[in-house]
Amino acid sequence: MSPSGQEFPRLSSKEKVILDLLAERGRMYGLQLVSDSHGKLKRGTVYVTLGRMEQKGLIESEPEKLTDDSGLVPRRMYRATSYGVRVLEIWTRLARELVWEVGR
Amino acid sequence: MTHVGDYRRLPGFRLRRFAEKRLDRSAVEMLVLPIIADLQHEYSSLPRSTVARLLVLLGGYWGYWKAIGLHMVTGPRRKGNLMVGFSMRRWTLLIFASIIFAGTATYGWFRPVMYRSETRLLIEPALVSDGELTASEIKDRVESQAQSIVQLLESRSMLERIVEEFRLRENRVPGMENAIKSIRKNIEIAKGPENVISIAYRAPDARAAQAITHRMAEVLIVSNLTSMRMKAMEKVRFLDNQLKRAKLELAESLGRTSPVKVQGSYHQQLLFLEQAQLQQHVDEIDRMKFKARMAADAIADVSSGGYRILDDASLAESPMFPTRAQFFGLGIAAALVVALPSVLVSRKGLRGSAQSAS
Repeated sequence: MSPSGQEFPRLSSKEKVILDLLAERGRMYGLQLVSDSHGKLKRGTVYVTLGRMEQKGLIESEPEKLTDDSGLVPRRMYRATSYGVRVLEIWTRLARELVWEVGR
Repeated sequence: MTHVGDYRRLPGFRLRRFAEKRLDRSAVEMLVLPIIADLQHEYSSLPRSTVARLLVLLGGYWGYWKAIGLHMVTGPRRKGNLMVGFSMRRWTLLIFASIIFAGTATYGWFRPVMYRSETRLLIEPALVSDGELTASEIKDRVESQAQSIVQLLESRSMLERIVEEFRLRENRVPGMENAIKSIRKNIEIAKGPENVISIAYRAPDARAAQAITHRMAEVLIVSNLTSMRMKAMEKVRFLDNQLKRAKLELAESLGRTSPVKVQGSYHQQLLFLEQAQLQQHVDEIDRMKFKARMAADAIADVSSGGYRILDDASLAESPMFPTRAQFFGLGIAAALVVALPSVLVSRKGLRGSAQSAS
């Protein structure tokens, strides 16, 4: 069950890519996710997807702490929650089993 | 890096102000600020005045508006977001609506008013049955006749005749090619039920439309009559030749048979053979006679014309849809459809939606 007590959440392909990257590399910002996804994520959709995932409890975010006073807006850094990592593991295992079943 | 106090020159300043006015706080924090932050960091990491900076800006703005659009459609408080969306585009929509109305009205005003005249023709099938007809005669069946009508009406010779007769080249369209194109565009040929074909013509003048439609039907009937007469005459000529040949052969056979009869019974076998041949000739002549009768029927059919006018070309009392007034109505309707959302979202309504969103 998810933190909100609802049924097990589904992961879209984009959400899976994001969770994969965050689980592997830790904290990342939006544009970094886009560039590291090798074209799987787009600049126009990644932020909406990240917002939705945060609402689902799959990831969490906080503003970056800037050391200088450049006037830049601090970037929002995202990382996978333990719940998100667990969902990803289950989804990966399910996908693997499904591939095995289909290939049998 | 950009210096302190230079934040107004950083990209995204206006985008942020716009979003803060229009969207709720959580959307600004979770969606807008991350986009602007990433854009600013990427932008400031590049050297000044480079094409790369311009590309980053374009990409960033594209991402921003796409994300805002997605948020409006899929995000929470969907109705409120849509209202905000409309308010953002209110003036754009109004201008767009005005352009649509002005364009439609202008086109409607300058577009010639058209009248349509229609005539209906009945294709009468041939009176002779298919079994008695040759392959070339079978061609005159209803379906192929309909095809022939279309081909004839759209043929260059026919259209040239119409153009010359009604002086369409001098009056309206310069050049024969253009005149023919214009006529072709305005002819409508449709095959209806029960072997009926309707021919319609559209023209800016109701009487001209009627006259041209009537003339097309007339020419069609006359051409068909001429064609059928020619076919019947060919057939008669052919039968005449056949009859002459048969008579000649018969006379020759009779001439050969007479001496055999005189010589006695030992030529009996030869006589039978000659008689059989003779009988064949007689049968042949009978068949020819029958065919000649059929040809006469076909000629009788020719006299009915093959096509009969069911309804003469009508005189249109009112112009075709859409008239100028209808065009104006359409323009207003189209403009309203575009402008309605922006009209409905009044200033008061906007304030309400903005409050509910925040």
